[in-house]
Amino acid sequence: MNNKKRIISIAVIIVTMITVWLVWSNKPFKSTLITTQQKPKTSSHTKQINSVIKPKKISKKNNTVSFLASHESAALISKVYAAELSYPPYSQPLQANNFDRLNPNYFNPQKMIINDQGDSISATLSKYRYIYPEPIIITLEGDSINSAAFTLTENGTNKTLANGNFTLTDDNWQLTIKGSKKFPEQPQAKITANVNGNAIPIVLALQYINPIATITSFETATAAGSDMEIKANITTEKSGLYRVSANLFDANNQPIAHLVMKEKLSKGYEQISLKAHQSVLVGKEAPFTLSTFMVELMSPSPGVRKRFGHSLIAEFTIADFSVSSLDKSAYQASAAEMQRLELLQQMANDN
Amino acid sequence: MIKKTIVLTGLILALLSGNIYAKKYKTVLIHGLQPFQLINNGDVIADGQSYWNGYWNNLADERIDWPSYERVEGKIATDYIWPKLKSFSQSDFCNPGCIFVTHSTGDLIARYIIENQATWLENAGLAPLNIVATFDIAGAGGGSELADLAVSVAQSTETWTVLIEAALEAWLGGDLTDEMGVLHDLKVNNARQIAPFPDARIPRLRFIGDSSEYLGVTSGFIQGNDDGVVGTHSACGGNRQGHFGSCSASVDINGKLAYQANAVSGFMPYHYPMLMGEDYSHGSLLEQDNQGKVTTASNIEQLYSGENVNFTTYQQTKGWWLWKSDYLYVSNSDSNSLSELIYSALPN
Repeated sequence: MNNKKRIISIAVIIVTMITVWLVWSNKPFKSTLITTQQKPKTSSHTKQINSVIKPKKISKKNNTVSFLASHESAALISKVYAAELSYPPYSQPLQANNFDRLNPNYFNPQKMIINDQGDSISATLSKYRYIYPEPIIITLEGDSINSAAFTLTENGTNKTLANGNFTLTDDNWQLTIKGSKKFPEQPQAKITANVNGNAIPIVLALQYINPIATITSFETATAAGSDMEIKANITTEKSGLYRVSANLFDANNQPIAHLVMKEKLSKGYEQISLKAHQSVLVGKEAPFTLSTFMVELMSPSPGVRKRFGHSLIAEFTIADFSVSSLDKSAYQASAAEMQRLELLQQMANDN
Repeated sequence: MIKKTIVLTGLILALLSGNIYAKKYKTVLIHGLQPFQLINNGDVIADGQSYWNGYWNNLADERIDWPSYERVEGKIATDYIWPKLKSFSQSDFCNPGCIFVTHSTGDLIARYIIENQATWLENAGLAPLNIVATFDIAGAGGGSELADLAVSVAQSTETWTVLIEAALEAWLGGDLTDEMGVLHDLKVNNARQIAPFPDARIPRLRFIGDSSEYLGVTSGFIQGNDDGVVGTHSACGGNRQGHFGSCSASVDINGKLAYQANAVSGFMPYHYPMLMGEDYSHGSLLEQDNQGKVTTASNIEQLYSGENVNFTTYQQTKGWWLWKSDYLYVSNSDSNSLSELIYSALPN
């Protein structure tokens, strides 16, 4: 950028900052009381911008203010962490607000600003990671879109792998791209939307996977000490350390537990067990349902990416299992976990 | 007089030797994005050192430095993370327990390390590291919308709106080049898919700011409250992107004790928000300068997902006086910076 452009850019920043504060900022406590003042100091990370606007603090003269020692925050966290450790790592309680575990393949809609007024359009993929031969489904939303095109390219070479034009439906613009075994694992997806004559690009991140392993079936659930054990039959194309996870739900489809097992498997037909500890099954009754399966071949060394498998079974129902048949032994946290808890407790006790 | 001289000499010697800073656990610094490296590659080690010059450099035992022009799962892993992991293992450096202090993208790097270090080291015939916790300052593990913006803009020859140009100029400090490096990993969807569920249950303590060092020009692009670079959905350790305000449903970021309808709705596993500072920006969270009072970010109902432990006693003993107050602050936060509070919380 030449000097002239930089000066113009800085001038533009100063002119637009008022707009930014007034139009863009939707933070209630900032927008209620705004004034200007010079910031007396800059940090090493502060950019080279000299005049600073800071929101004035809300007056607290007539309010009651309490103080909490910082270690009391740690006290709360140490109690929460201690409670988490009462469950084994392979069988962790699952709640409705554990969005990431319930939706491990979720694609967060991606916005792009289209004008100086701050209007935007939004693009969404039906998921983040596709397994061949799944189609890639793209949705585009926003006002004033005249048309939109999609290109899937190879990262680095920009070689076109697939393309298409969006179709306007009742609510939005949609496009389905047929899956291909030739798609690389991390292609680049680019949407170019024509909005009021301007070409607006949105680059989306996704993965397209040829599965390295496949869960083909499950054995009947059995009691194994304190655990309800469900063996998964899995076919692998490569030996290595595999991690299989799934979510367990009750008869009302309410989440019970997130189950995880990591084990070295050989190439070929193998079995891996998922276990639900009695601590998460207290008060629960069959039927249970296992779903949201994830199969991963862990990275064996730096620079070698993790690979993914899939399950042919979307849901496995455990129709008949007596929770009362399980041993009631509590889980004992590992030495490493206890040291982590000890750290939090030391912080809670103000060292 | 002699006694005083001995005490003074001892104090000076302790300061010079660094022993006065000795903590129970080893601390390892992992820095964040260094945008200028996307333009001029720079010196990774020297840049890593200067990144922490404001406060942390002399207080930590080690650093993991990495270049912003590379990818996390590529050369950052092979050429910068791995040599450090090997060295730590071979020297038993983490035997007493290591605490990673991360800033911004360092949060994502740490999560990737936690996911893989045991497997990598064991496969190389080495012992895994004993990582006891991470202190994540302005964590970008949930990605930044600014990276989404930058990668899209870099793919186009179009003229951009003033708002976009101002935001990227402020954040990156120069023109975009083809070398986007770790910005690809920082895209929200990519970041949230890099090692999202490590097996090791390592507590990740979160420290959050809510001011901008970019005059707010970047804030319009970031969902929810933000520190100029990351939204609270990431800094708090939120388990999804969203227009969130506070990390806590009972305390606003400015310390006001009131129900927060737009608080972060759920957290990544073992991510625990600890302190929030309304007047701290993404960068100033790392500095020694006090920017204003900070408040607690922890809320028990949001953090705890199990059912078999009762917290009634805690709530009764600690809660009764809080509910009569309008604002809640952390003691000494009007004189100590948030980084100083973090350091003082580390066990001696």
